[in-house]
Amino acid sequence: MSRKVDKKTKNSKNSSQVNQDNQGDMNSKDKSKRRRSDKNEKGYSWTNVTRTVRYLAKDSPGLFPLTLAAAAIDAVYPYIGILLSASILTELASPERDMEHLFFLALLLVGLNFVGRRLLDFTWQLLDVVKYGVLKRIERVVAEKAWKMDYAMSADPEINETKHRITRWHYNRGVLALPGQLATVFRAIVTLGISVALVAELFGTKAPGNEGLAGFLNHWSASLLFLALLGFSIGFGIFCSARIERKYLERDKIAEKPINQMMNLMSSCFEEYQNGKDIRMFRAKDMIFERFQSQSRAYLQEIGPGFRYERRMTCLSELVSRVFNMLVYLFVGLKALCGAFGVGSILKYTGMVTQLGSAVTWLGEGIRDFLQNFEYVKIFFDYLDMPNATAEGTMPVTKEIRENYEFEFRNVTFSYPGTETPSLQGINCRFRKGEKIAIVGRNGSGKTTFIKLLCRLCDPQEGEILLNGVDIRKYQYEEYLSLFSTVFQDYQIFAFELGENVAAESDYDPEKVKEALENAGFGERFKTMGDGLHTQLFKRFSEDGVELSGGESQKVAIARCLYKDAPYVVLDEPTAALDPVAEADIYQRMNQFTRDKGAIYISHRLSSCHFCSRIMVFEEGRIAEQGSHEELLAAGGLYRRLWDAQAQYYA
Amino acid sequence: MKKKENEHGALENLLYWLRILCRECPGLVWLYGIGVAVSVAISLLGVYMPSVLVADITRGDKAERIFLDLALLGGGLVLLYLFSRWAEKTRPLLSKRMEHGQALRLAGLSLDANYGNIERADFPTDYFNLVDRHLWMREYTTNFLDAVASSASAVVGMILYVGMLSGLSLWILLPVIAGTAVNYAVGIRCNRWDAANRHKWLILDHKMVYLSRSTSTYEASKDVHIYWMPPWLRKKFDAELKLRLKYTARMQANYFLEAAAGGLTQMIWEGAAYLYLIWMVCEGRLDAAGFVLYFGVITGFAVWCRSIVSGMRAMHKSASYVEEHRRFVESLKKGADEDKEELVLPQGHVPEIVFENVSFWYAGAEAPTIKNLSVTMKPGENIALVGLNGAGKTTFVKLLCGFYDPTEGRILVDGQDRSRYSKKSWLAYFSGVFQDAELLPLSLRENLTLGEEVEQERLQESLRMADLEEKVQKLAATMEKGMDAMFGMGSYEDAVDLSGGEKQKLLLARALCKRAPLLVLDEPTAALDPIVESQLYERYRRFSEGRTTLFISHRLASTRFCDRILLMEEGQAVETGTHEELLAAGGKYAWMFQVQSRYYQKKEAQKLAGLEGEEVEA
Repeated sequence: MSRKVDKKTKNSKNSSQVNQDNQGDMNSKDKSKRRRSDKNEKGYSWTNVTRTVRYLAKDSPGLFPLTLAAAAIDAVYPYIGILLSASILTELASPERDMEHLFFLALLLVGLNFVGRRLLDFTWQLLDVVKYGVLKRIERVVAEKAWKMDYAMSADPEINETKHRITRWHYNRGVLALPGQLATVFRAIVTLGISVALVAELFGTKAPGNEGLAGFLNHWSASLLFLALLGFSIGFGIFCSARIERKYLERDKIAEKPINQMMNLMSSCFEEYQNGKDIRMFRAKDMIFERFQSQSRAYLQEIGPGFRYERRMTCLSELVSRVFNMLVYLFVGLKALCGAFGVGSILKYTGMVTQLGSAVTWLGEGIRDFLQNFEYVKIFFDYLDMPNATAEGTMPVTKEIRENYEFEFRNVTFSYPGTETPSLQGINCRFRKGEKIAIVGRNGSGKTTFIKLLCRLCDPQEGEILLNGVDIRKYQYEEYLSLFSTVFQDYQIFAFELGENVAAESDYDPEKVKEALENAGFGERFKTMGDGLHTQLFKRFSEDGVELSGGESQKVAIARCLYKDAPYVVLDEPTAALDPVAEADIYQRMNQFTRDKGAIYISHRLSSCHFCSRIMVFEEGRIAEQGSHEELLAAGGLYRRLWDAQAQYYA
Repeated sequence: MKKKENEHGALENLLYWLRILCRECPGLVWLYGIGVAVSVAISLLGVYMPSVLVADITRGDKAERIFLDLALLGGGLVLLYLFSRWAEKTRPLLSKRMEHGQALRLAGLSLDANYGNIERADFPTDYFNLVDRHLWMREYTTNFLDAVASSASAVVGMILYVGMLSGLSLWILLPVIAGTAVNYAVGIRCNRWDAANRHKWLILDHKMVYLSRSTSTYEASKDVHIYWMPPWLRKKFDAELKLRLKYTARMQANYFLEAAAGGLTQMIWEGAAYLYLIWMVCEGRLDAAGFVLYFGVITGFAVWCRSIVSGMRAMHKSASYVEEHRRFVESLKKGADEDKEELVLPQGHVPEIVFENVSFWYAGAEAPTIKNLSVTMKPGENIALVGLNGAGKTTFVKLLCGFYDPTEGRILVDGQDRSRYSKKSWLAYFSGVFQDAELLPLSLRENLTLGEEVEQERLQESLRMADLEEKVQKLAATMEKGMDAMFGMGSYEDAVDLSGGEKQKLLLARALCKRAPLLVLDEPTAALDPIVESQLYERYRRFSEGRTTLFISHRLASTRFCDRILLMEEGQAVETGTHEELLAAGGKYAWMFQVQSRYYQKKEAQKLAGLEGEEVEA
């Protein structure tokens, strides 16, 4: 049972890698979703931005100052090299060079480079630590929402997909991307400021003479042409990256399906390796392998065109930007040739133009990402804001209620979403403290659904469930849940320590946990465990972990139920995996345990009905019969048939 | 590091994998080969171009000359850049196919491997680590070839650059090389710390992923709610994160130190190179263009030094990944059937199976799970296997099916030692239900047949036998997809969810569907309602006809329909006989039967109902 849990993780882990991988392919860290045509409807809601800023500032006050400091250093730092190396070369090329002064410049250059770089590294690295913490806490916030989410919502594939998507964005999209985008814009603005000054200098320095080449270079049209080319080169680059991004998203969406399905199937075959027995016995290998192949083929087919498109666009934008760079060289070189400035300035101006180009690109991309990120931020907050139907209840479950309670189902009808036939139909019944109810019935007759409704994991579509005359939806959810100690048929034991699993808490009373384990019939096994309550369950995180057999984990689940010691006990087939002796033992102890409580047992072993004051017989979503064992036997209905079917072998 | 047994050398692993790449993906290898030449050429032209420009200008050449030089050098550079971009974007197209091919090969081998080779707690971890590395981290294609190619270009580049520096004293390279050595040493130290501590934070990462994902699934949600775990889970998550952040900080500090060491040595050799070249120019031995050229060459040389260091490190890592891949593949092939005989039984023949003094130890266990067990299963016999939890029943089944081989003793099939035959051919004669079987995320039909061709009639018959026909008809009526509806709540839209009993019926129907002379049913009735259970017993004779069957159940009623009961205790068969014989013997079986049946017996039941809370007599 715990394996099931493992499997999901694997899937999500893998699918997160799908995404990272695609980002790698794209070579584009900071791209985001294609511009929506329904921009107005979706809305560039600034409230989400302020909410993001508040969220981040509260989570990590240092995040924004650090980000901006890093951006500023990043913007200024390259100019140290550009300016100083240019002046070294200028002086070298001039006849009146001074070796000592040159030495000084060279040492200043390498020294400043070193200091600047360390400063930059330091802020970046500090920022990485801070950001990692924020990232993980976002993951936790998302998980926390999921933990508390209404049970019905956790079956919704779309919500699950959203949940996984949010945690897959990492630093690139969503809430955590915002500081980076702001920093990019900030850095671009600082760089632009510096570069514009230098560009003005480049255009301002006139070549001597006004004829021929020099005349052309000095003319305003040359500068205009230069600026136009610069604009074109930058614009084209942004255009290409936007197109690639759009294609990437389309591709991502389609291609993720087959690959996730493949990883899903792999998990079932290899994560839950016990299925390997059936796979081998029924010779399912060929079929499963072919499925892998077709899923993989589908994936490769889906990504092919995207990759080729990306290759085309990347090469185009590479060509344009490289050619433009060469033109810069030419322009600056010709100007130098005409004597506008010395050779050293060639380095300065070419470096500066490169910086300028980058700055404009950063600015464009930063703003684009910032705007496109609105949608991601919205997905995040929409997810967090998803209303829980269970959150509406406010009434406290008082001590009086806990001590004296009566549940009533009034005309309750429930059907699972997507199914036509209701699982439960027109259920009417009452039960109170001190009563022990057995629920029996055929497979699929709605027994488990009944207790899911009672424990408020699902809400009925029609009718109502009352606790002491009040609709259970009016009670505060958490307090209402605290009424129940439940063992579900498909209970989950987690890969934590044994004691934690029993207590569902890390700070627990060891004696009480031991007692619960003892009463659940786990005592013998517990004695063999070297680390006692701190024994790590399952080998997932450690080689020393202890694997539990089906019967053993069932006993741990029962111990958890005993430890909680809630007023009402619900047991759904708690002994299916136990041998007759252990089963009889558990029923005796349970009986003791529920002496002053109310309890519901579901079991196909009708012998357990003996402990119950009343038996409810379910048939196709309705309560077909109710009464004591003797009454029902005498009535000769479904219960009689069930009983006879089983008892005949023991007579 | 300690060398494990049979470990391949790093070089051998690199060559081994290179051969595989050449065979399976020659285009990719060519692309990288050309890439080496291109990257050296780009570096060379990048160094030459500014210096040529400076030379032209200081000489006061004509504008045409500058045009021409830029057109030649710059044009060449643009083309080379274009090619390397094109190659970079072409590589994923080629490598994806290879990556998927390898991942599928691992999947195929794992599906084919002996069950004993995959039934270990670390198998899933190993498998998914490798698949992740193949598919997403691209360790075996991109990263591998990157490492090899960058080392190759670095070697070529270094030789070329040393040649280009011939005009200068080669002593100038000394600080560069010394600096590289220092960086390498610091890098190695950081790597060591990384390697020594990585497992500590990887576990924390796994735990955090587990906490955030596995506890928030549809399956886990019920328990998380009822036991209101969110505050606790949050606390646990925060505790792991706190520990993890310490490592993150330490790691970042290491990176900082590593970079600082690199920066320091760079400062030294760059400073030295500047001073030396400035001195040369001032002495008149070099012009400005030469200064630009040589400074570029020295910088370029330093880049090659760095890339040779990182290339070596990367190759080392790649070699260890190749080793892991080979080890995994070898572990799957352990005990493979290759040279074994195919077991061929005549149509309709049911073999006699004899366990002869069989003992079985799980790896690392202190005591045997099966102790000196001798049992004969006559052809066509229906055997019930009973016993308390942990008596060794399931292990017995695994031995019988050939998932395990006996540690001691023999299993004979028609008088022949089973180890002669291939496991696959032996298993072909089995059908059954295992206790821990689960449905796969496939369609209803696929789960039923698992790919075998089955006539519709037989399928219906099996469904009827397992009392599932009605449910399937209902599904077909309400769900659009009917038998093709998928399993997997929370991940497929319109996924079907069956109740526990229905799942078990489905597994039973699957077992009945396959015609096999040997049928093993391990707890097939635990979740079934009494009527289906009873029907199953009544029909048991019918579907066990002409087969040897083994029925394991905690419901002792099942034993009535078997020819013989085998009671296991601590790995031994302690009682054997018919129900009546064993009851008469008054041993362990009789006691177990008494415990289970007393509530069904009228007088006893009434008496007991009045005595709540009484202990079960031991």
